[in-house]
Amino acid sequence: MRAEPMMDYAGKRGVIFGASSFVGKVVASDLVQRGVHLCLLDLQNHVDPDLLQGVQSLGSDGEVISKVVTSGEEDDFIKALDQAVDELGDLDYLICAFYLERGYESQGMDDLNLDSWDQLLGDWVVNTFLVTRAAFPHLAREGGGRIVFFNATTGYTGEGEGEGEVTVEGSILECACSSALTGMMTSIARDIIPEGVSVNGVALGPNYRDDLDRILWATDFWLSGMCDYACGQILRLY
Amino acid sequence: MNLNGKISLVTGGAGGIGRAICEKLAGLGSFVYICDIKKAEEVAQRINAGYQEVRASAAPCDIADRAAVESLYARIGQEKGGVDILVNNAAVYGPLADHHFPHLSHEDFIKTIQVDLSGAMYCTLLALPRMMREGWGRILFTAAPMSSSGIPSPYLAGKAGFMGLTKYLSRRYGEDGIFTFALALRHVDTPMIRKVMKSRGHDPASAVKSLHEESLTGRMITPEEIADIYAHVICTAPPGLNGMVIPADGGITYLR
Repeated sequence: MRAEPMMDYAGKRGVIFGASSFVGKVVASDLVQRGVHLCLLDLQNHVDPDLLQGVQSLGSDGEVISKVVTSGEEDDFIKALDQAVDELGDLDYLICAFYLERGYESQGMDDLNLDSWDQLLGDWVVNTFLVTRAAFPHLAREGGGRIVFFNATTGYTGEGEGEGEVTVEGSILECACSSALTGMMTSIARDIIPEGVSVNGVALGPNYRDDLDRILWATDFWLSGMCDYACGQILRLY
Repeated sequence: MNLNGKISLVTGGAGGIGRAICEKLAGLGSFVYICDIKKAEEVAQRINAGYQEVRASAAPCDIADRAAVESLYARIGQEKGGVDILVNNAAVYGPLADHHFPHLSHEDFIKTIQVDLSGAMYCTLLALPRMMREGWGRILFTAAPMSSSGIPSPYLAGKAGFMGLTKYLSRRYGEDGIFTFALALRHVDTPMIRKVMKSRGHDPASAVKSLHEESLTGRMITPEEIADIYAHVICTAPPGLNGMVIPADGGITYLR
């Protein structure tokens, strides 16, 4: 049985970047049922066309809109966030749930080309920087904004997907990006906490698709008022 | 300890830490490619002046430029067959002003992370095939503790990215004889630290004095000491230490 949320979310406003990822969908579905007004934000080539209708059909009080951005296009991110805030009224949360599920299947050594690296770094790390930067002025306006970054425990362990499996080839890219996100978050946390905005993280374990309760609990923990003191921390879901 | 016959590539090889590493590896018998955007030739000449045979070669290259890195590896492949020892040491700090979030620009974020993380990834991916063929290789990263505070986000992202790389590479390629290590450095007594302190509005001399005193050892680590650690790890570390992140911060991170 899922634990009760730590706070009342009704009327809060959030953006989920990477809403079409597995984690994005899980978090979006949960938050909207708790009454959060949401903007589902995705990269152009990562959009699940059924997502918006699926989340809206959950029949909650939370309003749901969607936006699409082009990877690496700073103006696109700024415009999308500005529009989302206009439509939702304000912004309390940013959840960065972009995760390498679509088009980033593990590759063999022969496929480990430099193109794959450039694409993943851009799609995951650089875009997380861009969306955070675009959201920050809105989150800081009245203070109290909260940001959650999702990455993977592979950044700490070097292991690939699948519990107990030998590291799979190809996850070198995931490991590097994931730990890079941790470093980036640590630095950003220090810079933005004086403005009353916190950023913390959740590192997904190898079997994260079977770990919904802990994912939602961790998200709730970082969004709740229970942890205003926390800043730049990661909950690792091994 | 000797590295006779081994081919090394040191990125950022002409800077304070990199130059010390190049000198050390050459002194142990390795042929060293000094990769840097400037002064690589100067360092190579200085090293070669100390030996009867050529032990170093300048490899001027911006590692953020993929095509340039691929060309460099093609050259090394033709001249020496490839790289046995890769020291991913190059880094840029980012702009000295406005480097904190959210003032840091998209362009500066990209420029910094391209050198600090992508450059190392390019060099590593291109070094692996030869190391796997030979059944021997050493990959090292000049990193930093993830808890380092006050460091710009793309710089710390790059350094933290080395942790994931170190863990992955050691697990995946250890059985192929390729060992990977990271050295987690805090403050190093180089000209760069003075530039950074000055950019933050501190008097460089008194700021450096404070940094010396911050360490439990009473002083910052020197580039030569870092080179000694790298050489020792490259030459002597047993398989059981593969994947180790070695803190060399004077006890600041863990003991204070």
